[in-house]
Amino acid sequence: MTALPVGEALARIEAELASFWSSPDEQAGAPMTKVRSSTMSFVFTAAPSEIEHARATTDALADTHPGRAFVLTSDGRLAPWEVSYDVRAACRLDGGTPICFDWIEMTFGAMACERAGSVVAALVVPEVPVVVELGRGAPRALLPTLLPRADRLIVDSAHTSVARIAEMLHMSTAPVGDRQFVRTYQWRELVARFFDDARPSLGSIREVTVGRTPGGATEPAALFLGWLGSRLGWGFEARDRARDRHGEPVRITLRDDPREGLAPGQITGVWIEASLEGEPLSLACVRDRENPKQVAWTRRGARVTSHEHALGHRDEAWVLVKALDATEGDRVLRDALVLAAQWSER
Amino acid sequence: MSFSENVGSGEENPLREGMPDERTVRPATVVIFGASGDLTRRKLLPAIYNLALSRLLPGGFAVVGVARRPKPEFGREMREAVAKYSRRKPLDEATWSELEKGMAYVQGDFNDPATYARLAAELGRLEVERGTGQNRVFYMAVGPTEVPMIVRGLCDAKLVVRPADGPDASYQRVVVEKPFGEDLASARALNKELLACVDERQIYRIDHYLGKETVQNLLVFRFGNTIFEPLWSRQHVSHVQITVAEELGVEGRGKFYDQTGITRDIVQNHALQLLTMVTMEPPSSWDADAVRDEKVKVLRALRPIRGREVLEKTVRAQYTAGTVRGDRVPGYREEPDVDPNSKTETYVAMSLRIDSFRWGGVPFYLRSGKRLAKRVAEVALHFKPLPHRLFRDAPQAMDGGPPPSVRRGEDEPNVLVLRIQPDEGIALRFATKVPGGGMTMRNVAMDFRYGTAFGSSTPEAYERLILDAMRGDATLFTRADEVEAQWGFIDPILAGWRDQDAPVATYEAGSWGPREADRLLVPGDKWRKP
Repeated sequence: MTALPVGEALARIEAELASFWSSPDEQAGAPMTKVRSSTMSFVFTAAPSEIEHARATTDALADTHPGRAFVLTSDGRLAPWEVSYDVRAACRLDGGTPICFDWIEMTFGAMACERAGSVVAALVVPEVPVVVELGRGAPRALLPTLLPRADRLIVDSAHTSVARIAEMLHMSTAPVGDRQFVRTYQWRELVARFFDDARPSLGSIREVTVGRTPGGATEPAALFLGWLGSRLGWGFEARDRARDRHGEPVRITLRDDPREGLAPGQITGVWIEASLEGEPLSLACVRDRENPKQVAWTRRGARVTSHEHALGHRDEAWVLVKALDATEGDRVLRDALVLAAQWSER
Repeated sequence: MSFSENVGSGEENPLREGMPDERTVRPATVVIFGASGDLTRRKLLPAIYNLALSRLLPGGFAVVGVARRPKPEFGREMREAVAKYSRRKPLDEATWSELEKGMAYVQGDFNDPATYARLAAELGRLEVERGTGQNRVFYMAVGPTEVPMIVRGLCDAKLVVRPADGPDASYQRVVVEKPFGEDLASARALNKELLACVDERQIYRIDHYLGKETVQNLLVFRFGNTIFEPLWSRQHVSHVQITVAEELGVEGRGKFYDQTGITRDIVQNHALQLLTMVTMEPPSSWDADAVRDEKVKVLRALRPIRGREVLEKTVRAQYTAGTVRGDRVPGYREEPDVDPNSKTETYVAMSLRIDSFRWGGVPFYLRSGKRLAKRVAEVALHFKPLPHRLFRDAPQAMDGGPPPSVRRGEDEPNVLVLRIQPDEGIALRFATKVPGGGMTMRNVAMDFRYGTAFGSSTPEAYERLILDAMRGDATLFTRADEVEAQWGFIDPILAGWRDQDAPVATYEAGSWGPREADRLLVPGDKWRKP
């Protein structure tokens, strides 16, 4: 990595990129024009210790969402106004055409952080959206100028608290995707299924219990409760108490549920008590003890059904793609994050 | 903060809002007639499994296979088929295991009332055990002659009843595979027989082409962008070429093929569907009937080709021995089970006209063939040439000498190619200036590929269509009047060939078709070699 004052570093990066794009690709044996297939500029910002992870993320993304990728961090050991940078590029043959991508890594000195937004603005691919992902330990000093440039924000409430995410929502009007919201989709979908043919009981939920493995970096129940409450018009009076839209009380219980082989902060089960046409309705969706990738989905009382479902496994590349593309849930997520933050403050 | 106003009202489930598929699929059983066949193993069960893997199936779900052959190990056989043919591998054991619990098989003849009694008993059991209710999708993976018999059997056994209104009323739907008849008369007879006991709203005629993402994207491309639709008319389009080409021959189906031919097998359905999607007017909404109404209008505006006109406006042909992708292949008449004197066409090309304000005067060249140079399906819009060729026919230089830098290069008209398969995508050919002195031009292609832009594994057409049938969304299915309008156009061509004893040209396997097809083109037009 070369460390230079911001303006000089920017000029050198532009020159290196121009040199790459103006020279033909030779890998097929004969010189061929390089083709850029761009869907976005992707900016990943994280702590310096996360750079390897950031590289892996942006490399994987090039397969599905080609464009220009940035990895940004800050390091107090650099001269305050300096930036160190590295530029990479690669081409792969697709149907005989060299499709090329490039990556820019930049580490900002303490004072240079405030120029991150303008540097990114100068280097992004025109006409395509700018997506900013806030990785683990994203330097706070980069955000004030970076976030307003974003057309979409990607967060991960598995390591960033919903309170901090809600704070960031005030710094940007861009829609938000949350990796954790994607990872926990199946829990929400399975809970929604309880009510597909018992919709009137949504208005008579009296108790919700969320089980989770202890020790997570953040509270996994927060986002789930934020989602459920925001969809149903609840307000949280305390962490263990909500009022539904008719003013009726809903009891909230969190259950520590240690499981071998399951990472900290994983949801292990959701239990809901409601009623339907005057009859009690008990709903449970609980991870199997032997096989934690399997859940038992059970209804008792006014509706009696039970199934087993596989939770399956999705790698993080898939999770990111969904966080980028599944925009139909943006409004629901924003509502869920806001209410989850309120619940967390109680 | 916003929340749904319909909490507890019995309307849509507000917890589903913002989920990838908001419209809930109600619990249901899919019953496959012809469950021992290839379509079930290669397409239907893998599609159902992938829907389960994508969590798009309802919690209460069951699959019942019905066929003549005994299948004591139906579940195991289907598991092997899914493991082999699923687009996503390896098999997810938990998903399969849950799917298999709701799987059953009923053996019996389709003309035997006892078969339907056994099916009714099985459905009754699954309704209790799997919570599927009386929602049933009956999938006819059988030959066209068996469909009316099966539907009658289902009606007699009251397994299908006419639809009741109301959001919670159970539904029964019948999915019918092509061919929908073999001519207009048989299509009408089939429709009449089906409609004798089920409502048109219950019939889902599958043309799997419509389930392809790229075919659906035709409509998004046209009606979801502002810049293309203004160009989409006779004012700007010189001609349109629609190609549905296959590398394969008859692949052991010589007997079937010799009675069918490519016009019935591909043109009557897939190719005409592509034509309607490319030429239809914008529908008033993305509603099944609004979309299908517009498609039917195009079919009715197709200028008929009758009698001797078939000799001028169509070419039929058969492949002779040749080389396809480096392999020597026999000619059509040398294929097993093909009549050595067969006149069945393995290639057809047509020059069509649509009598409408939008398309008046624009030739539509449509061709489809087996054993062509490569497998490709595409629609290419060739735009009109420039009214004044500024960079080609430049004036003489002031000193009287030629300005050579201006005269060189290409200025071919623009072409927009919508590739359906393979390499799904869109390419636009346009002219650019070659850098340097003068004004030399060169054509370049701006090439969008689905795979490069989206990367993800695209759902199979059958996944989309089975899910739509369960949801009750008939937009991508063919309506009775649409099928009849398709046959209404094709029938006179088939009759013309017969009555005029139209010649059957030949083309070498691995080529782009017979030379005779060139005479269909307006002077100056050329067949594409995709």
